Amino acid sequence: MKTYFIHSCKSNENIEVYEYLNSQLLDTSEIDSDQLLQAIEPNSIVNYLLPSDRCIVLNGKKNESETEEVFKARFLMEHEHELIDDVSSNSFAYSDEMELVALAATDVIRPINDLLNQCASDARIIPEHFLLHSIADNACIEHREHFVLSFSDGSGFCTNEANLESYLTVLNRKHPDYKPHLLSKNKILQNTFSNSVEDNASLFDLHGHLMSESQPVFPNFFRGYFSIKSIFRKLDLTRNQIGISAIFLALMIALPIINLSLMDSYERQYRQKINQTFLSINPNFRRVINPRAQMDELLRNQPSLQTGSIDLNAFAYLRALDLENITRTSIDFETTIMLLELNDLPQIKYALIERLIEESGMMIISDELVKTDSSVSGVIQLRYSFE
Amino acid sequence: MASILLLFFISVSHWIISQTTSSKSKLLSAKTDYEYVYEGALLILGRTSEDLLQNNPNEVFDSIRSLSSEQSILLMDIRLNDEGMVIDLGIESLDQIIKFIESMHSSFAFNLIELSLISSDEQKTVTLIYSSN
Repeated sequence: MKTYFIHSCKSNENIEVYEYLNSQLLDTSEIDSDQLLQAIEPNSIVNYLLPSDRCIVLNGKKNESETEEVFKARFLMEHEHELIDDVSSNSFAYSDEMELVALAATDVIRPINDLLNQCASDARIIPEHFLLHSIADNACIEHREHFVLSFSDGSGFCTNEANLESYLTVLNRKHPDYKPHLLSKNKILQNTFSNSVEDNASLFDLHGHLMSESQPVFPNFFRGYFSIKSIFRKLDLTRNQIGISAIFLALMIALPIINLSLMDSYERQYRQKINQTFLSINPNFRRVINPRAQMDELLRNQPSLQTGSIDLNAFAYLRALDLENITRTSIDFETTIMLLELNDLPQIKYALIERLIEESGMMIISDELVKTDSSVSGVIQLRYSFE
Repeated sequence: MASILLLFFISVSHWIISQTTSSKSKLLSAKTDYEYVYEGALLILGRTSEDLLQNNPNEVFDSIRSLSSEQSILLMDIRLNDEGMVIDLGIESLDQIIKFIESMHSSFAFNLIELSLISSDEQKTVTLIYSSN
């Protein structure tokens, strides 16, 4: 599975994409955000590193009894004075393990979140400075003239070279004891933090550390949601597969509708036949309302009637017995008795008939057959079943 | 968009299931009604045919002759005796006689009480006896 790290370019609107396979860097590219979908392989892991100056990180602890929503409401109420924007315009991310809350403008997070949702990957949007936590709580890295600083309280900041000096002056005034691990050879940083530990780790090493963690515990702004595009990308279907799926889906919808229309059509046919039947009995017949009651009414007006049904079971037995070998057959439909007269029927053929009689469940009433070594003659009476 | 599609899919599925259940029960009801009416109609037809056979047998005989002719069955004899109406036919296969009996049933609804079939190398002869009330 591939892993991607996405950083914002500080010089323009583009993004930097780092592509890894099994922790090995495959490619780095600087692309427009519109090209991200082409650059990301579906079903991979995507880490979007949000510039640390775009978010604030504060300490916060969710009580066990609190739901996420209740905690969010309480936290925002308690920290309202620290927020520049309106409370409702902030996206909220919480890490239970680190007891940290990250807040960023929804206007910033939403487009990124929408874009990552389309990637159909396991995505995260985490503040960039959390990359440094694998080195030290207080650390600073330079990458492409861009400086990211992390602090032991979980907060972080980033700036470019032009603003570095002024930022460091403010920082020194506010946190005079701040001594970060330096992952940079920048002279300004080295002069400012002369007593700091220098580290040779690169951005790729920091990516590697994050990749080695199965489930990073950092606050994550990403919110996945159901979208057709992401499903298509996740399935990673070819054109043929899409075509087959579309046909399958169309059939899934069309077949029940066809079935419905067929059932309605059969029902109409039965109703028409009922009408026709009544009309054939009485041409002046007008309307069928309750067919059973109307038929009962007609039958009540008739003298005693005898059922004239035919039992086709008897014919099924005749078919099975192969009449070519039977001289005379007689069926009494009232008693359901069948009489078979055989004349010099070869033994082999009789064995077949005997087996058929057994298998069909017919009962032998009388057996007047004369069997010789080679043939069978005589009369056998059987009772067949109605079922 | 996806949620709307999902909602649409669930609604369509629900509609199809409820419509299928309703149509199936309507179809079953229509089928059983038809079978009931058909059986009743056959009883009435049988009574009418019996009356016609008693009062004007030649008309019935002519209809049976034309039925056998339509089905290319050789009608050898047709007569009334104490048992009822007796029809002798020359057939080539069992299917022919089954079809003829079914046609007789739907046309006259007579009550078939006995069938005799004599097979020889040359031909098969069938005698049908219909009861007369």
